[in-house]
Amino acid sequence: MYRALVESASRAPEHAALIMEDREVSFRDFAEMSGRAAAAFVDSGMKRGDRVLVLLANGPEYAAVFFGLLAAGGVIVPLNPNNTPDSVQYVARNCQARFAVVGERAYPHIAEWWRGAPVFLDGTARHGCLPLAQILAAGTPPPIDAGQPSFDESREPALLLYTSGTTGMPKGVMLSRENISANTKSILQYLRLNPSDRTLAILPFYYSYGNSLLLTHVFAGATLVIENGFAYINKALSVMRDRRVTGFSGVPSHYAMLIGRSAFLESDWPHLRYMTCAGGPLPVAHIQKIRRALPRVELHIMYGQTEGTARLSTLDPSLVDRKVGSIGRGIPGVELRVVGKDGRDVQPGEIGEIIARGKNIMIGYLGDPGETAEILRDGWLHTGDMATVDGDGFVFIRGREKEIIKSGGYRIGPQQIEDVILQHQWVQECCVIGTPDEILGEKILAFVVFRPKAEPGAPEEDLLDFLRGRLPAYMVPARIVTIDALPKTESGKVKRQAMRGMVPPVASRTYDDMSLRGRIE
Amino acid sequence: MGSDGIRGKIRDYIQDRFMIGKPLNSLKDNDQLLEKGILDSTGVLELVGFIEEYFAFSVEDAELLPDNLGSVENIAVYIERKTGQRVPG
Repeated sequence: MYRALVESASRAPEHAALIMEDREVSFRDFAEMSGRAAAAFVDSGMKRGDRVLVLLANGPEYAAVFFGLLAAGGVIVPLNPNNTPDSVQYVARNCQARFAVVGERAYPHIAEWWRGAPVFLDGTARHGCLPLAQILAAGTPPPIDAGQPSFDESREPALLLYTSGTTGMPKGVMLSRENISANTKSILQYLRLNPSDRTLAILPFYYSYGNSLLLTHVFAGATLVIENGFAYINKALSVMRDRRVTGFSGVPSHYAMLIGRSAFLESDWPHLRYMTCAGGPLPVAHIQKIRRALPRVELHIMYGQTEGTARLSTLDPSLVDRKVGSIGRGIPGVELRVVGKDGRDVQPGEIGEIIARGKNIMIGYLGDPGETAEILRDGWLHTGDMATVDGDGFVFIRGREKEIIKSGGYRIGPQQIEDVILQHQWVQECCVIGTPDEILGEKILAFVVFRPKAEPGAPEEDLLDFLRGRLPAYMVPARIVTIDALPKTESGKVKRQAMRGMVPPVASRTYDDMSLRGRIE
Repeated sequence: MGSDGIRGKIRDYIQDRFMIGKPLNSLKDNDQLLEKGILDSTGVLELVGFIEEYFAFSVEDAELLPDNLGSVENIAVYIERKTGQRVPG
C-alpha cells in the first residue's frame, strides 16, 4: 500500500497529490511526510499490529499519517474527530489501542483517560505529547523498506473501521492489506481514474467511502481537492470551478444539497468528467435531473459495505438511463448474487438477499467470532440488503433486512439509540427507525411507549433533553412519536417493518424535530 | 429582541443542538463553526431550517456562504440585514 504512494511519487514527484485551500502538497512531499511519520511511529516503540487511534479531520496530515502507519505496520483505527469522549473510549478499549494521533479539536476527548503511549498531537504544543506538524515537516525521511512483505497480507488487519450494527455497540471491521488493495484496484478499473483527474474530496477519510477515495487517488497518481466546508455549498462550488475539478463523489444528502440548495445544475461544468454516489439510494428524480442537466458527465451509481472494504457493485454510466434505480452488478473481482432463503439465486422479480465474494471481503469483526460467522458464510458476505434482479442480471435494492439508519452520511444502529432512550425514567419501551428525508437520506424517528405514571405535560420534551445530553447530535431523533404499544411478533420481538407503516403525518401527537422548529406539535 | 437578542438565540440553538457535553459559554461569537467541528454539512442545513422558521425569512441558496453563516457573529449580522433588526453589539 505504501509502495503505491512511493511509486506515484516516483512517476510524477511534482504532481499535486493533495490540494486544500491555498496549500498544494506534491506526491514527493506527501511521500516524504508519510516516511517521516512512519519513522516517528517506529521510534516511539510502535510494533507491527499495534492499534492506533486516528482522530484527525481530512487534510494532508491525515493522509500522511495513514500511509505512514501502513509503512510502519500499525493498524489504523480512524474515527470521527467529533465523536463523543465515551464513544472514543469505547473503541479504544475494544481494539486495545496503544497509540493515538489526535487533532486539537479531539484532544480533550481522550486527554482525561488516555493511558497509552504519548499522543501524536496535531495542534498546540502540550507537555507529554509529540508534535505531529513538526514531525511531518522536519528532516530527511529515512528510507522505508517497501519491498515484499514478510507476513500474510490477507489475514493481518491493516485497518479497523468501526461500523454501527443493528445490535449493540459499533463493531470493528478488520480489513487486510489484501482487502484494501483488491478493492482499490477494482474501483480504478471501472472509474478509469488517471493522473489528470482532480476529485473534490468532501467525504471524511475515516469512513469507507472517503477512505477509498484517498486510496484510489494515490494509486492512480491523481489529485484530491480537499474541501471540508461543503456545508457552505457555494464556497465548495467555487472551489470546484477554480480548481477545475474533474470528479465529484458524495452520498445522497450531498446530491440533495447540490440539486436542492444550489445552482449546480444550472451551471456549466466543462471540466467535470464523472460523479459517483454511494452510501444509500440516490433518488431516481435526482438521477434524472443530473442526467438531463449534465448529459456528458459520467454518473456512477455504486453500492457497497464497509465489510466489503467499500465497494461491491456499480452501474456503468452508459446504463444509468436504461437501468435507472439499479445498483448495477458486481465490480471487477467481486461476485455478487441475490439468493433466497434456500441459498439459490432468485428468479427475476423475486426478492432475496445480496451476497458477495471477493478478495475485498473483510477478515471479520474484531473480537466477535459469533457475529463474523453470522455474516461470513462459506466465503460469502451476507449483506442483509434485500434486492431483486432483472432479466439482464442488474440488481435493484428493495429494502434492508438490517435496520441500519443512514442519516446524513452516518450509519446508525437503532439499538444504540434505543438503549439510551430506555434509560429515561418515563420510558417503557421504544423502537427507532429511519424515515425517508430529502436532505439527510433518512431521518431518525423514535416510537416511544411512556409509562402510565409519566408526569403530565410533554414527556417527549423531557426525553429529548435527556437524549441531547447523552447522544451525539446526529443520533438524536428528529421526531418522537408517542404510541400506546409496540406491535410484536408472537415471540415478543418488535415488528420493525410494520412500524414503518405506522409513521403518522406530522400533525398528530408528535414532538417533531424540536431542534429545528422549537415547538411541540 | 433584547440585548441578548439574535446572537443569544443563535448561540443557544447551536449549543443545545450541536455542542452537547461541552461547557456552557464555550462558544464564542467569532468561532468558525465548521473549522471548529461544531457544524457539519447537515448541521448547517439544520441551522438554516431553524433560522428560516424562527426569524421567518427564506435563506436563498446563493446566501449559503461562510460570510453569512460561518460564525455566530456573521449569522447575527446576516439576520439583521435580512430582517432589518438591529443586532446589539
